[in-house]
Amino acid sequence: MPIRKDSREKGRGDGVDWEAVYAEYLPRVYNYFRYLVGVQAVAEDLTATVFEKAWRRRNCYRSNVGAFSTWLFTVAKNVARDYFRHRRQEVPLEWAWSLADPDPVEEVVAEREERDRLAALLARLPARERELIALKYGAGLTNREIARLSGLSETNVGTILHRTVQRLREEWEE
Amino acid sequence: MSDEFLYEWRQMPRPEFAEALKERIFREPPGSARRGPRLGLVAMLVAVILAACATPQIRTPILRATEAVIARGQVIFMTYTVGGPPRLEVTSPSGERVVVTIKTMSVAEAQERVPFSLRIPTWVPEGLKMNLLTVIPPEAYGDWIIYVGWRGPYSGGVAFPDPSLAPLFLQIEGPNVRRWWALGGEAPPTPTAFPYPEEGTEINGKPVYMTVSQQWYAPVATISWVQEEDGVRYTLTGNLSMISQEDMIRVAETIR
Repeated sequence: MPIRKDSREKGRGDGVDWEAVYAEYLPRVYNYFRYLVGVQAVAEDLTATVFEKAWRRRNCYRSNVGAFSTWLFTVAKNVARDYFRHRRQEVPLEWAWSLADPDPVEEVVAEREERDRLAALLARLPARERELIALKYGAGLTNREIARLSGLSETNVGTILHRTVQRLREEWEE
Repeated sequence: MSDEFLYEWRQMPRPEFAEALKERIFREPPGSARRGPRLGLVAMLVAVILAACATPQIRTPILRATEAVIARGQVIFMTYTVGGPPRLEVTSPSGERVVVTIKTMSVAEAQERVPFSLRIPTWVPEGLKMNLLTVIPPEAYGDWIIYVGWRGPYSGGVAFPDPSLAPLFLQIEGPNVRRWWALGGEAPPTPTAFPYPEEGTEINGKPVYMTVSQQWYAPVATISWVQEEDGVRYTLTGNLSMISQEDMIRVAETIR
């Protein structure tokens, strides 16, 4: 966890070095959402929301209560929950652009087929399994960290992940 | 069992997204984070209020005043249905409850509904995308209201506009729109509700109201004017952490 040596510095969130936090956790939070929602533009939106909320509430984090990653990914989980609660079933025309990949088409075409295939497999997973896969492979959390976040036991997390990966592996190789 | 294939989908965030977000987040001066509620103080306040309300001589006038305020005021809720579009619920001073489903539509669709000409900006700063255009029928406020919102390159537009995330927002109101303060009484038109409007600001050679106020999330500028031809009011609101005041004026100038 990125903690400043001088924990009193600037009075920020219990001594958390936010520059280091940003560098370390931005890709992890972003990939958590990519694995969870499957759309790059939406993943960026949700990632931005997480960091804005975390930054505004930075004085609420207490290192003696829990790990920083647990606190940050709790914020991320709440943002994800709000997203799934509010998302529209039909995407209006004006929103269609947000489903587009912001990278140039030529650059992504070559990779798209495999990525789309994995995205489709992830999209078919039940919500809990997909959440665990997103935390494990998108955010790069350990089973213990996932257990703290999900309220499941570490053994249970390992078992569910093992079964889910096995299922995905079989479908991937079909 | 190999799970390598599951890592193949990982990728780094786009550098321009990462830079823009970082610049925006860390622009806030250090030490200005909101503090959590001081629970002790809140608990003491609640205890004092409860003790006061236990006395009938105090409780009765408080309840009567509360009822009077609720009866005179206008209550507005934004509600969501799981998986469905957001809804606006407006309770008028007369107690009538109007529920309006918020639905984003095209400019042409909106124009078909409203009886006056819709003027939409023909220019916005690069990177802004219109992600909201919805129409509130006259049942809610006495005349048509049109909300138009834009999202920035990295935020806003996930749900109904969060003012802290939306860089630019336009409200178009028919000439007969009426609003009421939550505490009762009719509210003045939007610009005069803000204190200290800057004088002397002109858009396309005509005077407009322009205010800048500090909100909890960022400074916010508002430009408002009434179109002479049809009495329709245009109010452009910009989050100055995402759009400059000069660009807002440029946007306003293209609303013709």
